[in-house]
Amino acid sequence: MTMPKVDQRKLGDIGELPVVSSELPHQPALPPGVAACLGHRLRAFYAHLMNDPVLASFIRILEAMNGTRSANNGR
Amino acid sequence: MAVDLSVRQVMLDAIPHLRAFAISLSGNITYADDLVQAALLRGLENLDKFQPGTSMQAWLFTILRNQFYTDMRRRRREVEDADGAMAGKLAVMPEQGARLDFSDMQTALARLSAEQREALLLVGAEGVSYEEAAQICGTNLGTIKSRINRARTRLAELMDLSSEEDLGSDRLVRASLFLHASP
Repeated sequence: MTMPKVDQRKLGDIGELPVVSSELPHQPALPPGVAACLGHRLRAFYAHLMNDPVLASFIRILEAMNGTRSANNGR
Repeated sequence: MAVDLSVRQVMLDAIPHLRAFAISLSGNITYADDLVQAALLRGLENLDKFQPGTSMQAWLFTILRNQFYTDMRRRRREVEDADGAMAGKLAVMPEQGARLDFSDMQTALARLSAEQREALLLVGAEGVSYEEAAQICGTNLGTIKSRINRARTRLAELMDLSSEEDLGSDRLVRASLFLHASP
């Protein structure tokens, strides 16, 4: 079973945090620089969590299932 | 239960995403691992309910966050890493320079409501579409956008990023501002 590789660049390819126009007049959108900084920090935080090694117990759960039956396609 | 190898691989590929989401959502690594394990087991037990052609990862995310909210209702409180020392419990510590940023983000996220936090994580960190995030969270598009907007604003306040003057000497932000500056 192939171990997944988590590439930080993959998260960077997603682009900046999407700019959400405020639907409420009293909530202006964040300044672009602030939004960019926030998005960068959030993705860096998340990327670090994703690069934590996968627990062996999770792999054992999946390996315990024998692949003998064709099933629905995944993602 | 026999499971196709391709399905197992898709689920294996989803594990880092599930775990990062669970840790960010719950603020507790031990509990997050329990959530991931439960989501994998439940997903495997209910594979017959998975719709072909849809996102397995999104489906597992839905199972995981539903379990989180079920647990919240039972415990009547959010599970958080109150001392903000989650970074020290990861297998790989953030580099020294990044450790403060990591801790700041973790602390700030914990102060958002769970609904705002999950919406922001799904769209801003995981990169799913608003539509998919709404589906995972069991709500509509407008609500997801509103939660994200509020989450971003609140997070910026908590991290003292409310104005561009607060960005200080962050080199990456200065570079970003330079690139976006008018000629």
